[in-house]
Amino acid sequence: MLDDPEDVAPGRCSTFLHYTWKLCSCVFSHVILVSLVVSYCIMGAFTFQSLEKNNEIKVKRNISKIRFNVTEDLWILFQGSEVLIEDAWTGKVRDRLKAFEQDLLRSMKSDGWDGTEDEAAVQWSFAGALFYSIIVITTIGYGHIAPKTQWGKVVTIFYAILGIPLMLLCLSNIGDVMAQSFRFLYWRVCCYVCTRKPKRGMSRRGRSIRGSSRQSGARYSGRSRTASFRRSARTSQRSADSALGLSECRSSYSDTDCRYYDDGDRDLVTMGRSNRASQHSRFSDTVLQVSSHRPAVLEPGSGAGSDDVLQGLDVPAAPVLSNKYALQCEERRSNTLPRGVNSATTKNSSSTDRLAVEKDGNRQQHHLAVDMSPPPPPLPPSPTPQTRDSQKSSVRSRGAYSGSYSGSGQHRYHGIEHRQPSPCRPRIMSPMGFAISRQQTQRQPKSPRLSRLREDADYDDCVDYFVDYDYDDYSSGPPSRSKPVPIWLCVFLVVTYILCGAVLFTKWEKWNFLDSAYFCFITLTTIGFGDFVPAKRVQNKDATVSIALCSLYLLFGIALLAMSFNLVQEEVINSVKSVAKRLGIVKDDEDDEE
Amino acid sequence: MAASVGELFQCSVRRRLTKMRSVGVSGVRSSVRSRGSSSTTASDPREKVKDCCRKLVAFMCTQVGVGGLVVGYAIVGAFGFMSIEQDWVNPQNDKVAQLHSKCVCDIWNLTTSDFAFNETAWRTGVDRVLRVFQNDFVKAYKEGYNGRVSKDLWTFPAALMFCLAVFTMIGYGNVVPKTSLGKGLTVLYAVFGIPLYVLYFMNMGKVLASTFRWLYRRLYECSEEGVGDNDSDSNLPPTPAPRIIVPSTACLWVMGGYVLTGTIMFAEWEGWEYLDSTYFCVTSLCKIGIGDFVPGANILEALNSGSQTKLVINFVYLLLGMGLIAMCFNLMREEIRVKMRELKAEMRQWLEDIRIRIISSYRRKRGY
Repeated sequence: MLDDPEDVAPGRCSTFLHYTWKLCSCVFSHVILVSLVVSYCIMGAFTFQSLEKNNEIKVKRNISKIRFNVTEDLWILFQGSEVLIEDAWTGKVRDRLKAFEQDLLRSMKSDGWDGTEDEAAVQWSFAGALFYSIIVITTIGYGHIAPKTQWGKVVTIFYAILGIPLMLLCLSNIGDVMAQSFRFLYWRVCCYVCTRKPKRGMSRRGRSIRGSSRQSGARYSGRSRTASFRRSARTSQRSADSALGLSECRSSYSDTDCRYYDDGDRDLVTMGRSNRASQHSRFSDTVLQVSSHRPAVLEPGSGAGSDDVLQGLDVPAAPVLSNKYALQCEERRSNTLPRGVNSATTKNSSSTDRLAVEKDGNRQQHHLAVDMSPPPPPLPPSPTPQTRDSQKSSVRSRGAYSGSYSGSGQHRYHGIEHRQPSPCRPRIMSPMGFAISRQQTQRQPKSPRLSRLREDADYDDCVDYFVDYDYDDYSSGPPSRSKPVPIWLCVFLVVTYILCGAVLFTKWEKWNFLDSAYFCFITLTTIGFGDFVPAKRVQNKDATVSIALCSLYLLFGIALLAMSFNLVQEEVINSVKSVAKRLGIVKDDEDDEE
Repeated sequence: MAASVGELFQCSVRRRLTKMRSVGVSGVRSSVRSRGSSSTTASDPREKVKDCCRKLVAFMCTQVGVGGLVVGYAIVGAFGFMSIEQDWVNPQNDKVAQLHSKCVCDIWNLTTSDFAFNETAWRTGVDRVLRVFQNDFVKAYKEGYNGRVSKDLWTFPAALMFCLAVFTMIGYGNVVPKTSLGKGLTVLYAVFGIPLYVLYFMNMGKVLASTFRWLYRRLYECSEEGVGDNDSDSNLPPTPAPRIIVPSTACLWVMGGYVLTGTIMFAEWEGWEYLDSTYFCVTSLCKIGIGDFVPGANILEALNSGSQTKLVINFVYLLLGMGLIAMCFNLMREEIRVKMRELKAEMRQWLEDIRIRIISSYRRKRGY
């Protein structure tokens, strides 16, 4: 009797604590880190201002003293010469002027004189010092203002040593968040295209029955998406650049949609299973590994899956739902088979109530679809096990899909299909895809960060898979690889950012366009030569605004670069690997790392 | 969990690199020989070329290969930028010369004018002229006047330093390209150079980290043997080879020593103060590169022959220092990872503890 609350309470309590912990860590990692960096910058600004301002004023006063000395020397020269001969005297004056010029150069180079004698317009104002501290901890280091006092240098050393890791941490964190949201936005638009287009295509062609089934499919996918994306919706649609990239992507994808539906409908009617399998195999490069681990994978997968379905937790709900849709998709796929087969699979596969409910709808669709569609040309000899196998393996390929894009897995796929003849395996679709993908990612030894990334990607991939799958399946073009976010998009984003910055600085600083672009590039790569620095040449009242603008630009730009690295790294590695393999530079068996 | 941008870089490159190196370590020994042989005997040319290419790439991805590649890239870049930038004539030089003559002319006019013998009037007049000259000069300076001709500026060591500053992202900014072509090429140079440098950075860091770890383990064993009490313990590690985590203090000591070496070296050579020298070393190794101190490139100092070798040594110092930083990064990350794991376990235990406490209180409440 006493055990009873202990059994109930820990679960609730631990989940509560778990989520609190997650929330706390999220808040900590993002909000607190950013505010820490900001306060560090402000602290640095105050410190440097107090350390350097007086020195700068002293240097400014020194300039007038230097000039006074020149006047004095010239007067002496003037008095000393009894006869004023123009050439001799001007030669002497010229020499004195050269010395004066050297003095000026020295005071500008070594003492950090900014060229004005106005004591109100100091470089080490609060804005300037803030800019300096940002420049230091982002390791850009323009060098247009530099500490000249002893203490300023010492503080700079320690400030940099502490600040640079902090800044990197913050930037990588922001980059993570941005990468996630960008990926989400990117796929959301694709999903949007995939779900919106069916209606249009349907109405255009007037296939009402098929259209209705499609519509329901769209509805399912939409629901699964909203459920799974609710998790990451907090950061959606904020950055203008992401939106820009997205609009770009939409336009690029929309032109394939027509083809997509032509092919899709034809496929649904006429396509045999083997054709499908070959298409699936595009994603099934790592199927071999997964299948070898299947006995170990199945049980945890099923356990986790049932738990997930029962508890209805937030995060695992994504794979369940998405795979539910996937299941429905599978059913739709097999609707060229006789109806009995369908009902049999349905009976076998209905593991939960919700799935069964979904499938009732599906079955109705199948009735309609079967009525519509002509009998399939390549009918499998023993339909039930084969169908089940194909479904299972396709699901597995779906699970294994995440992260492996290099194709050429067709024969492997078939090999697996032959290898699993037993029809009586428990058919656990929804958890399996997810569990396998997880298992696979954990199996590969990687740095924890990468594996974490991969897991994140897995969530998304499991959800987004359908879109990608459909798109790639139906597009009649050459077998393009499926990518989470293509490299060109990231490159395009960064280049656009640089060009936008160039335009902005051209307007703001009156540089020419090439110089502005050069400045943006040099800044964003954190090289920071310092030959072009905003508000350096013109000492006007806009200096503060210009400095603020520039620092905002560069902070966001560096975060954007971090995001691009985050998104691109997997792609680059994979493409380099495949290129190396194709060239024969790296052998296949030397793939394992560390 | 905590990862930096640099680590992002690293993750991406390291994976590629380790893979390459796994080939490279096996292939490097025979690479030179096989390259020679494959060129002479071409029985199966396609396969031979493939093999040769493979070995070449594998060799290029080892420490020697990448190091050589980086140095070669820097040298090529140095020659390229030298040839481009040396011909550029700074328009500001003419402008400054004009300023000189104008100023001299003004003073002469002032002197020969009527109130030349009124001292205060003459002084104010000269001061006004000088102020005009000063303002014009500052303007010229900010538009790129450097006090030197670009031929003197773009010597080979300076160009080498410039290339290093570009692809290591230090960016001193004491020597910058002025022509449009030079600017464009700098961008291209950076685009290709930075990944190469990152490759070098990771590679070097790995090698140095393993070397240092080995060294540290040796030292550790020696010291443990001296104590004798933990002899069995210290003899145990080598056989099952559990990794001895090098403490981060050791890394810090190494870095401190390196910075100190650099400090003394630059202070002696350049005649800087020790603080300035330390400041230069730290800001360079942190890749900030403020550029107010750059060895051998002092604007007022005439270029003597000794500065060339100094610049080359500076080059080597910086490249090696970057490698050392990568090493420390590697070692410290390892330690931090272990610490994080411990912290996580501790936290979990703590949470469990709290949970049990809550449950027990809950039970007690329900009991009543």
